[in-house]
Amino acid sequence: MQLIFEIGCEELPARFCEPALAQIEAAFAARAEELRLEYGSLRTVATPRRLTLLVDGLAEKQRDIQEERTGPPAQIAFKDGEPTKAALGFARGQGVDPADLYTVETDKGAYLAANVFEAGQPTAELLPALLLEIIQKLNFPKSMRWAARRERFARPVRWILAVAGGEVVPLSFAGVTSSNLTHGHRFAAPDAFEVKDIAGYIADLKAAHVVVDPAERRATIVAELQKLADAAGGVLVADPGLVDEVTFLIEEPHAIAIKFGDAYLELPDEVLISSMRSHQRYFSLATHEGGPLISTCCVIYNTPVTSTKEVYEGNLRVLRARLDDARFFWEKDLKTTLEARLEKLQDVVWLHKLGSMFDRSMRMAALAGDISWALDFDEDIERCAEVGALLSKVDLLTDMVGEFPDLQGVMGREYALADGEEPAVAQAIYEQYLPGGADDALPASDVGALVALAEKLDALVGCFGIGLIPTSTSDPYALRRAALGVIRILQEREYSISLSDLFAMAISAYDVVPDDDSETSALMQTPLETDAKVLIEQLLDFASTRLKYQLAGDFPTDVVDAVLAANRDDVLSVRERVEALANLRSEPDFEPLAAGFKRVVNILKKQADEDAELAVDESLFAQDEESQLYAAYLEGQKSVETAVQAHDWQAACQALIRLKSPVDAFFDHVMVMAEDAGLRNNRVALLGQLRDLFMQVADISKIQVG
Amino acid sequence: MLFQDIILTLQKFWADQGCVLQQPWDVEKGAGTYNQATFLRALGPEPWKVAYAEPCRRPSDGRYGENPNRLGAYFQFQVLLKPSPDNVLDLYWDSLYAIGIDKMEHDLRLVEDDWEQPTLGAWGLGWEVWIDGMEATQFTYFQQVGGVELDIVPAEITYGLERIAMFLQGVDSVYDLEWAPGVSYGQIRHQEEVEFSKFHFDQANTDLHFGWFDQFEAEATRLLEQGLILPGYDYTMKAGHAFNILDARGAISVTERQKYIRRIRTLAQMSARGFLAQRKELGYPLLAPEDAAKLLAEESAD
Repeated sequence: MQLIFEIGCEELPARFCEPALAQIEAAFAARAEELRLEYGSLRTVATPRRLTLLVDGLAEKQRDIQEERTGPPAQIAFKDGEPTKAALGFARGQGVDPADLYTVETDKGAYLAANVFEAGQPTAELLPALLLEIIQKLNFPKSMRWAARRERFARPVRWILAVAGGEVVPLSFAGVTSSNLTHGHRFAAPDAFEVKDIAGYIADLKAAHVVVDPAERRATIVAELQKLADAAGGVLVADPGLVDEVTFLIEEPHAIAIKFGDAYLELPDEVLISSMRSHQRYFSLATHEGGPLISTCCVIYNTPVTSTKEVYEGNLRVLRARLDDARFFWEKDLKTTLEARLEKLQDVVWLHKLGSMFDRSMRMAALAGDISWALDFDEDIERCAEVGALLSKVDLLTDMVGEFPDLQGVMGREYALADGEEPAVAQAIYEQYLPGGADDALPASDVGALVALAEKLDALVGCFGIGLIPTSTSDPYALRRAALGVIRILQEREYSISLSDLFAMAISAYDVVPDDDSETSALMQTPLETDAKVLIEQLLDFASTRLKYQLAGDFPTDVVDAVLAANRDDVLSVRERVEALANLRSEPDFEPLAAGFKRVVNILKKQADEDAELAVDESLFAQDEESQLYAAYLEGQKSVETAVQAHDWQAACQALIRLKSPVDAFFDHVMVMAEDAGLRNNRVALLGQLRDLFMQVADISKIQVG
Repeated sequence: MLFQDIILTLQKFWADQGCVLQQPWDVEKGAGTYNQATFLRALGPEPWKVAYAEPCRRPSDGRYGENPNRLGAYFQFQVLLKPSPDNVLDLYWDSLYAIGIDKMEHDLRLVEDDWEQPTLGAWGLGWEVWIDGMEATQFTYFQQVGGVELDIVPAEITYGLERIAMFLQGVDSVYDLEWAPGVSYGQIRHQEEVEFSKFHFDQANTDLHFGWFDQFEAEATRLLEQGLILPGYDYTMKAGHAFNILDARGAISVTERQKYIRRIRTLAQMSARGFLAQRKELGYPLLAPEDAAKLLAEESAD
């Protein structure tokens, strides 16, 4: 039989619907399994006004139970041929005649058993409690009460449709009793009508102007938008998130295009898109993909109105008012240059203890300059990066960014261009925030990359430096994104500079020359509370974890760990080393080599560090295998050095692989822990050199073998 | 429809639904919610149905009379229905029909918007109502008011009268609205917008207002402690308005702002608690006598 269960309520927040459906589906599936209720298929659909469960092929009753159940041990079951209390109790509990009891052998001995048959209850008797529980257990991000009711739901519940096999399933929640009635579109077809089966439910709702299946609604929205875009001679600016949201703002999709007038196109596209999207949920159109906007946008609305005139004019008026506001802000903001506003950033606090946005901008400028110098960029780049960094936060003071906070960076760029700043400077002000997410675009210019690095490094160092370190559940300053951003920029733009150098530069940017003239004025002060060395270590740990996750998708974790253990500072080489090492793994000699290296590491662990640092004395070699290993080591050292210089990590790994035989031979024949201290120390020293050689590539003791 | 007729029509509509038509409360405030007919009546077990037009002052929103859409002061039409009726949304759509908005000719939508007012310690869940993309009404089921979790949840409907009027009359500037036959909104209010914007943004004496805030706060506290809830709440509103003026003048820093909000909220919470205690003492006069007796018995058992 079919089950149709619909919770009808006042308009749910769009983002609540799909998670609620997932809960309903999971709850029913779990409970049906517990209750031995079989069904053919299960599906959920929703609109803002209804959450619906549709079950097809639901069994009319529970699956019968036919099974053997064991009871007390056989030896206490009968006395003098008669069943004992224990046996009788068991029989009674299982609902069988004592005469039907028998014995079974288990590994624990002989036990009394009964063959139990429980006829399944009719499904209809189980559904009321089951469905009620589903409603009661629904969890929403925010829930409310209404009137004098104590129950909570996302919005007031107004009707419950619960029909199984054509019959009403009786239940009630918050004073609403179930029936076989549903309601159509709130305005176009509000009257109640009967529902008997799933096909009827879907079809009759459609006739009542409700497209109850979200997938179908979404597809219709996309198709309608496409049609309008074609008619307007443009393309839809892709916005799947908005499509998803709008799908749950309506019960029946209708679309209309609004022409707002070319005059507004003088505003930057991002401003137009923000004005249209953020509050109004309008879809923007462009001339072609990636091209500029055209002065037509699309609106998805709900009611099959008698004439679209009012919808058109109403929306146009609202849109014009918003665009007029945006234009008002734009023109007002343009009256003052970014540079003229810069000082006012002293009044904007960035983080308590770390000073104002002005201070931050100054640090970013110094840092961008330092990084530029370290990477050997020319003066123009250095200058543009410094100016870009200095002006990077000024747009926070503008009315436009005040109204549209996510336009920060975008407005900075636009206003910089309008001020006559160099295009590279303007572009950098925009690029400082890139990448936005793990897969997002990176700065496309060196100037932009420098400012972006400075922006992120300043935040990482500042926050960690005053103890604002992200936890597994909380990262309010988006430091993970910042660290990953730094890594990706270095990788993509192939900037050869170590993380520790970058962190050190960012730390010294925080040094402040104190005002007073006392003796201590020679010492710099800093708002950072953590010692620089410790801070760099913390940041390297943090960054290498990000690096690890970045690579973990494509490479085995132990290979990634091995490389990071050897050097996590040189971001550029990490991926290359990981690739090379992953390839090396497939070679037959690799595992023995790794095993051998593990032995090296284990032995060295037990030695004092200094012993491993001693120079090797060839004159102390007593066995051939020692001198052979040493010769191989020297050879390997040269090869690895050459390879590392050429960034040829494959070659470096090959050089290491060639050490497999001498290492094996060494361990097979030489006893490292010789009685003689001279011999022993020399052997330890040799192993130490070997380890250092390997560690130029990776700590392959971390590779899982066998 | 004339601006004044919209108000008349809404009043008649809601009066026909059994609402008491109260008048605006004559102390400056930013929203109809602050009128004690909403803020205080929302509290406690007694039912209440009320409707009224309320002038609202929002100093920071002033635009010197130059912006056709934004005003430093405007009118709300406020309705409170406690407990929230099951057909409350249908009543609302019917009220729109009464002022000429046909639900099959316009796109009427409920879009999630959970209202909160930190100075009142109040919040609720509900929606903005959109008419063809324009936000026209705030619809809220209050969950907490004055820091008190509500036992009986009311529905609050707040119409943005100027918005709706501009929509109905099809004008692009609020000042072009026809208020009464041959009399425009601008003729009545434009000068007020100009002068009050100058006052709020340029001229308000911040020293005086800082001083007044402290005095209003002290007086509110004193009165509320004496059990004079309505006068105490009056001074709470005055403190709130003083804060709004200081805020518009840019005299309140980011860190200070939270402190001021907390101070006003404290007064609002005191008013709320005081009101609840007072209603209990009065024996919940708006409840049917049997219900009141039952409730009082339960409460003394707790």
